[in-house]
Amino acid sequence: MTEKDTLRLFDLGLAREIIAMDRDELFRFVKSREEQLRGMNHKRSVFVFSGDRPATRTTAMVFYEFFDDDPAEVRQMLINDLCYTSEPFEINYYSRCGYFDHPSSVYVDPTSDSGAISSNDLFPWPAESEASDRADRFDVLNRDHIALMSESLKANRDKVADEEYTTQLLTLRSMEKTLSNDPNLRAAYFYQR
Amino acid sequence: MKPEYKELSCLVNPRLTAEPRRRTDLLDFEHYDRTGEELYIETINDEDAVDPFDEGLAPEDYWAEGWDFGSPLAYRHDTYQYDDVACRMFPTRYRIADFNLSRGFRRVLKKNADLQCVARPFRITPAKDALDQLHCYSRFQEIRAPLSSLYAKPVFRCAPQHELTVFHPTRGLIAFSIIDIGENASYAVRTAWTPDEKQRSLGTYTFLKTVGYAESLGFEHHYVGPTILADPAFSYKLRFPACEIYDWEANDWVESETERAKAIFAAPLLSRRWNPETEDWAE
Repeated sequence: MTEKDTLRLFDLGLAREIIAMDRDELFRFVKSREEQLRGMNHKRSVFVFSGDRPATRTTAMVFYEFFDDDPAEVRQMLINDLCYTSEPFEINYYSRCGYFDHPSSVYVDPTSDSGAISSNDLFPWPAESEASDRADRFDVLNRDHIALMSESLKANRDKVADEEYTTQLLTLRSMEKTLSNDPNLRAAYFYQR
Repeated sequence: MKPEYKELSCLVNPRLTAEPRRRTDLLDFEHYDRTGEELYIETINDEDAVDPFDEGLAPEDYWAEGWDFGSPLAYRHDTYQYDDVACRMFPTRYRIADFNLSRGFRRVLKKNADLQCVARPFRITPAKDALDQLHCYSRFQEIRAPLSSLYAKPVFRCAPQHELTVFHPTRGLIAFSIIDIGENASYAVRTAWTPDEKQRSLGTYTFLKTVGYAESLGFEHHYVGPTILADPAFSYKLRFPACEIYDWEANDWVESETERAKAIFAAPLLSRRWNPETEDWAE
């Protein structure tokens, strides 16, 4: 009960696009996001700052050198940089139980658009690629899972301090709304001790 | 008068535990059955508990010598009080490579094909807590400490814990197993299932799925804690294939269906009795 599990909005549609793009498509995509990537700081960006590259090198040089060496790693770095659209939110015990105690938390076919899937299914990187080391491990949740968390939190209203309850509920509600409005988005559930 | 602590002369010779980790004054737990005989129990009790990884060891190095991990102690003992009498107990494990399912076990899997299982990091939930209590009461006729009290505080764990959770399509959670994940072996810490689905053989089903999970991780062994011969609730462990039990005398594992295992099962319990006249242990 002391685990610090977190939720983050995750752009599943974009992640799948990045995985499906060929070399040239991916480069065009990187160029289209160049400004966003270069605006990231060391802590935030994996792609831009990976490998201690000199600042003078162009994005094209970096991209092709990395891609030709390990394409899966480049894809994973871009997913890490671009697909998380919110900061981590720590989910409390009573909220998360709504997800864990529900049968829909069982992983389903990774191509399915409903039910939980695991990032292990989402990122089928070859074992020899360093992408596996860079890939986060998380459950991919949809709006209904977040709704289950809200319901569980409300059912245990008397066990949670007012401030915590309000923060949790508002964030979950906001996440539910965002997920309802954008079918490409999911919530990434990170298991953390 | 019985002493609170007495220097232990181990009936079992520990091979693996690093000497500085052993604190003799805390090694001796005085446990008595109703005849006044002492039960052997050896513990490692350190302020920081035991961290196998810190010692360059994997959890299975401990499991392979009969140790069990519990917070905050690591312990091993060859006896157990069942029905107020000291009984022998044997750590039990399975060789996953040789774990070939009989027709009966395959039938259990087939019968439960409508159930859904998920393996993931373990998280306590109220439903698991309730199911665990129900299971303990129906199977062991006792109330045990709830999961939420065992795992509520930040305690030392020797290995990451995963859960294998089983959901019924309409009833929801009906079984789960908590599994310690080592580097090359797993250890089923606790399993619970609903008692009112007897026709499904949920204990067997959960066990088979747990072994399947260990196999999927490429593990060599799956440990299930001790088998207590006198307690029928534990007898199921010897029904599964590739089963090995721990030989306390030889510090070794023995195939459970061999003559040697039968001899071990039949051997008398070693015990010591406190002699109040000499104020010493009588063998």
